[in-house]
Order: sequence, then C-alpha cells, then structure tokens
Amino acid sequence: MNNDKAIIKALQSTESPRLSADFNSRMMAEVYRAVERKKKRAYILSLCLVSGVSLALIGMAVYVFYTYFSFDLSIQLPRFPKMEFSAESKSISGFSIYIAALSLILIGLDHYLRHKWMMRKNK
Amino acid sequence: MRLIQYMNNQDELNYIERILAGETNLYSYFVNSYSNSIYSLIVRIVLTNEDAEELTQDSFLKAFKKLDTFNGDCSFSTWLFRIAYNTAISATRKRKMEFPMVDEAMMESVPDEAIETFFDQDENEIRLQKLEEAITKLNVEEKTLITLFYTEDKSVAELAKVLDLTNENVKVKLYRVRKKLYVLMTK
Repeated sequence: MNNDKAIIKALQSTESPRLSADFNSRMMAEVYRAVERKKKRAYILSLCLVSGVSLALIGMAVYVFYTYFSFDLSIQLPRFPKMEFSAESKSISGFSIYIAALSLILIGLDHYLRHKWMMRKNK
Repeated sequence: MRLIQYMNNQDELNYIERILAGETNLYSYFVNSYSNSIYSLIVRIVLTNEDAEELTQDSFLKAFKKLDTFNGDCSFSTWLFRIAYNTAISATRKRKMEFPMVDEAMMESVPDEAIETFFDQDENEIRLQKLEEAITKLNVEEKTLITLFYTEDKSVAELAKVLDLTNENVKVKLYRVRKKLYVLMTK
C-alpha cells in the first residue's frame, strides 16, 4: 500500500496554499495572551475563594455567638478610656498630620513610579 | 528509524514538561515544526484558506490549553492531528458538504491486482490530474486517512488514534479508499 506512488504524487502536487508568513509569530502572541488570561483567571479565582472563605468564617462566628452564647457582647467589649489632650500636644498635632500626609504621598509616588518603570521594562 | 522517532518523542516530552513548568516560549518549537502539516490537513477538509488558517490557530491553542492532559501514549504530532481533525470536523458540521456516492457493487468488482498496478505508476500526467480530481471527491474521513498515511507517513496505529478507530477499521478503510479512487477515476 505504501508503494502507491501515484497517490503520493497526486497529494503532493495538489496545490496547497502556504500559511501566511507571520502565522507563527501571531500564534505565539496568541499563546502568550492565553497564558496571561489564565494567570488573571487564577488570581480572580483565588481572590474569590479567599473572600468567600473569610465571609463564611465571619458568618460562622456571628452564628456561633448568637446561637451558643447568651451574653450581651457590648458589655464584654473593653470601653475606650476617655482621652484628654494637653495644650502642648494639641500644638504639635498639626505638624504630625503634615508629616504623616507627606510620608503617604511619598510612598504613593514611589509605588506609582516603580509600576511605570516595570511596565516600560516589560514592553 | 524507530530509534530516531523514539528520541524525537523523548525530546518533545522534555519540551512539554518545560512548557508546563512555565517556559511558554518553547511552544514555538511545536508551532514551527507542525503548523504547515496541520494546515495542509485542515485545508483539505474545509477547502477555504482563511478558515483553514483560523482553524489551525484554534487547534494549536486548544493543544496548548490541554497540554497537561498529553500523557505521551502517542507522539505529539499524532495528538495534535487528532485535535486538528476534530476541530475541522466541528467546523464542517456547521455547513452542509456533499460528497458523491460510489456504487458498492462497482467497488467490490474491482480486482486487487488492477489497483496495485494502477497506483504504482506515476508517470502519466493525465491520470495524475484525474487522481487529484478524485481525491477532492472523497469525504472528510477518507481525505484525512490518505493525507496522513501517504504524506505524513503515519502508521495504521497512529491513524487509528487520530480518527478514533480500531487498527482493523483503518486498514479496511484505507483499502476501500483506494478502490473508491479507482472507481471515481475510471467511471
């Protein structure tokens, strides 16, 4: 059967159009996109899973407290002590707020610039 | 020959392990090696170049997504051809394709010796042209069978895996395709 030279020749001579020249690169780009999609899906799935489990645990804790414990929760919680500020501490509170805000802005800027640099590097 | 094939299979298994471990770029080895063969098969089934290219891409993507299910019980190309064949078959199901029927009695009456000598000669240009025409009249499964058997050198066992048939079934179908081609050419 393998000696059917005529069939082999006919199959080979049938004009078979070639794939477009950039097919392989387009194919690989598609593969990379599929990998990215898979990673994103896994991330979302794990996020949903963690959120779900956390909510379930909180729900379970609330259920256990209401069902099996017969005490007023608000009584058991520690009461916050009354805070009194001296005149001296009041005067430096403005400066403290300024330092805290500045630190937050600088941390935010650092994060933004790092992110931008990473994006450029990946391109 | 078998040793070379075994070594190729081992290399490919090694590549697959590395791709699954995160070296995605190695998949280009399979795309470069098999894209034209897969395309040649699909274009024979769906007949339009644009559809064939899209289906070739679909086949490679499906293979990539299911790469973890490849267990190495056949060569990677056989597995890929099976995916490509199924993808092309699904596409052709959406549109109705008609193939000429050949009288069974006419096929049965053809002596085996006549076929052996008929297909063993490849010098007659007119006959080759007729044969090319006859091949286009075969149904999808028959075209796949002869394409993979004669141009891709696939064994009967590999063909059985691609088409989900038994080895005996493949042998019978190959035997009947030759008879059908003979009848289509001589009637």
